[in-house]
Amino acid sequence: MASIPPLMESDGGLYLVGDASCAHSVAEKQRRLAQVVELHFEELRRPVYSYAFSICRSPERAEEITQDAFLRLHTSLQSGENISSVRSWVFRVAHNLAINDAKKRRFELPCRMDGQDIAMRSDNLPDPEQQMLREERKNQFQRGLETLTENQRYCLQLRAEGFQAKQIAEILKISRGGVVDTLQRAMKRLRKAIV
Amino acid sequence: MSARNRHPLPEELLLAALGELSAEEEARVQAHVAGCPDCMAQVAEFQETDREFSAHYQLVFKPSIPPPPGAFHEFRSALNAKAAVPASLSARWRSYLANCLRMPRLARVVPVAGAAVLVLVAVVRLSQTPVVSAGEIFRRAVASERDSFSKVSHSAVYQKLRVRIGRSSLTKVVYRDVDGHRRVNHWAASDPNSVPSPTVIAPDLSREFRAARLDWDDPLSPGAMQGWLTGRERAGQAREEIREEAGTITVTTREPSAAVTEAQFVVRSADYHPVSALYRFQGQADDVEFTEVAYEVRSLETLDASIRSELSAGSPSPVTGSASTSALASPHAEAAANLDEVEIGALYALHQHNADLGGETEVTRQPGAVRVTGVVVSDRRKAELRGALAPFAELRVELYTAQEAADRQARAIASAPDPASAPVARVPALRDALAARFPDQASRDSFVLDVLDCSQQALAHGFALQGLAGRYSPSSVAALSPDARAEVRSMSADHVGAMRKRLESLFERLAPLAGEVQTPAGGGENSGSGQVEPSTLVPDLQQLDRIIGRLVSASDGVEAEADNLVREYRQVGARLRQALQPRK
Ligand SMILES: [Zn+2]
Repeated sequence: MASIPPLMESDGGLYLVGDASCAHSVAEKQRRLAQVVELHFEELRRPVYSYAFSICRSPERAEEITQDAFLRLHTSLQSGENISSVRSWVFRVAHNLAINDAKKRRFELPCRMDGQDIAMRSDNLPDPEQQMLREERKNQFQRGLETLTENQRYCLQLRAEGFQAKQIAEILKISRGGVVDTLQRAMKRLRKAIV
Repeated sequence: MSARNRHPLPEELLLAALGELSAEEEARVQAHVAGCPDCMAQVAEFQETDREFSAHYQLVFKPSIPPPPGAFHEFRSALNAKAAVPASLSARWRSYLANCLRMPRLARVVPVAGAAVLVLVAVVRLSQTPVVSAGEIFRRAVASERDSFSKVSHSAVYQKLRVRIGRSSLTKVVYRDVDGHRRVNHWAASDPNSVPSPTVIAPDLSREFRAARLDWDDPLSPGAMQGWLTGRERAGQAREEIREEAGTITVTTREPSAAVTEAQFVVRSADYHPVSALYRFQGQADDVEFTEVAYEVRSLETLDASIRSELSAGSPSPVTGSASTSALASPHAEAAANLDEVEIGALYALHQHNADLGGETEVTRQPGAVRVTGVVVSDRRKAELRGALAPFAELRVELYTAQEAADRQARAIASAPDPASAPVARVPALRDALAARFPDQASRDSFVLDVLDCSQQALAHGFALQGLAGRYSPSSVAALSPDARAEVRSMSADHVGAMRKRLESLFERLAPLAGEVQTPAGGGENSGSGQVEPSTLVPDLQQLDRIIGRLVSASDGVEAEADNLVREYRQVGARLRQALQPRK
């Protein structure tokens, strides 16, 4: 039987707590592994779903990709893979799945990063003037983002998810230097659109 | 020298802005940046763009995404299928926890933290929880600042402020040695011939500030804002206006007759970091506004040597917050505010270790104390959480491993026997039915544990739901950001769904022994609203849990009671089924 190594996440994540003194059965480990994966899922599914959606633009596909990524996490942990940061790992897998999906359906994708139901969601802002300002701000970002390359957008989004350059590099499989260069260009370009 | 004068690469400036340089790189880049307005502006610009895009991404883009159409329902079944194990194999682990967690009848002897160790609860990040009062906002600001200090050994703050007085504005750079309570101000002027000093800029206004017990030198410290608010509350002027928009929260206080007629504080929603403060004074045409241009917490060692020597030579200047707070607040209020901080600090530390999930730990407030209790899985986990809580000296930490909790209970039972029940042999009310259905002891035990586990988990979801409902009333939910509101809703929906699933599985298992629970008729009275009311749900779930405990594990041995218990079980079960009926 494959033994499950203690699962540790350096950035304050979860521990699959192994109690060396107490020999749990394989079934218990199974159960706890599923529990740990489910905890990760609960914690990360929203950001992962949003990120996947921003690439593949389909709620159905983004949902599938998100679920798939966590089921793969389960498989990897079960097979004993040592995952240093679950968060980066899941984003990397979701990124690849979403990119592949988007490639397949490139022709039908609108390249926008705004929302459809935004008017409905901001219903707590009764002030029309504020509404307009907010709308204008949103459009500024939209225009700015449209001038960026795909990689520049991914870097910015991952940065907004709180990843450091090194982790972004792992997710996108490019060098850290590449990420930093991409990010600084992205920020300068975006800046022009939003000030 | 020449290395110091060369502009760093844009990439280096970006990393400096994001705080991702190594210590030496940081020192080198900072040595240049401190003396180069261009690079300093570039760093500030990167920081601002980073902040603004993050706010846009989190507050505008993400909430605008359509929700997953299947609400992730497939995931659990897919995961369960992958992880499926025969129930009897996992029985030992369950009995281990069941022993610790569920003590039918004895729960009142030693309350063991929460009933929910097994339950998975969605994470509420501290930074995303909504704000209800100005006091709460500033408490979080203080906690957030302290948290940022704790990440760096011997913290120093580098802060660049724009000070606008009426129509003229100036920039100053403040270096602050957090532990040493020392501060250095550098005033910058676009015209190098006019080097201003605070006394020249606004002699009247700095006096006004002192009169209002504000700190001219550290106007954006969360502690100062908290002190200001406390002072107003004590003076009975506790009316604030709170506005949340575009990633910031603005707190405005107005008092036309006071020395300071209006004060406006702006903090970032993401981390409650203060970014600007504006004051208007009685009889003064000019208002004063402080706006943060750049802010960084770094290690003191990475500051320029000249700044360090200035800092160590400077006279100690008490960090504002504590000084003005103690000047204004009564000792009692100050102690309470401090405990609020301890409470949030502890919650946050536990949150970072995911120990706020599923009732593994509980933080409670008592008169004059904050207490953390919990039952954890292993010694290692216990040590880890103790370590995380170590910085809070005021905290009472009571963490036990599951084994210790079981031992404690065993001792408590031995030393404090329940006189009414101790002599009575305790057998399940359904003993005979159980024995008939599961002649084999092991499969009987496994069945009982499964049933207890289901009931316990349903109850735990009920508690979680009740907790959410208590924390977020309909009116406070309405005040949340769309993202946070959606999170609260999705958490509630998750709990209701999980609860329904547990109960159905429970009813199914018990049907052969205790009969079917009645299904509500199609157009039941509740089916219109679809609202779930935790305040009635939880008592029902508790009652059901008690009944089930007596049915399958430990009744008082009064076998004649079985019929009554079964009847009660079906009544409560039907009520719950009705209450949880899926929305049409
Ligand atoms: Zn320079």
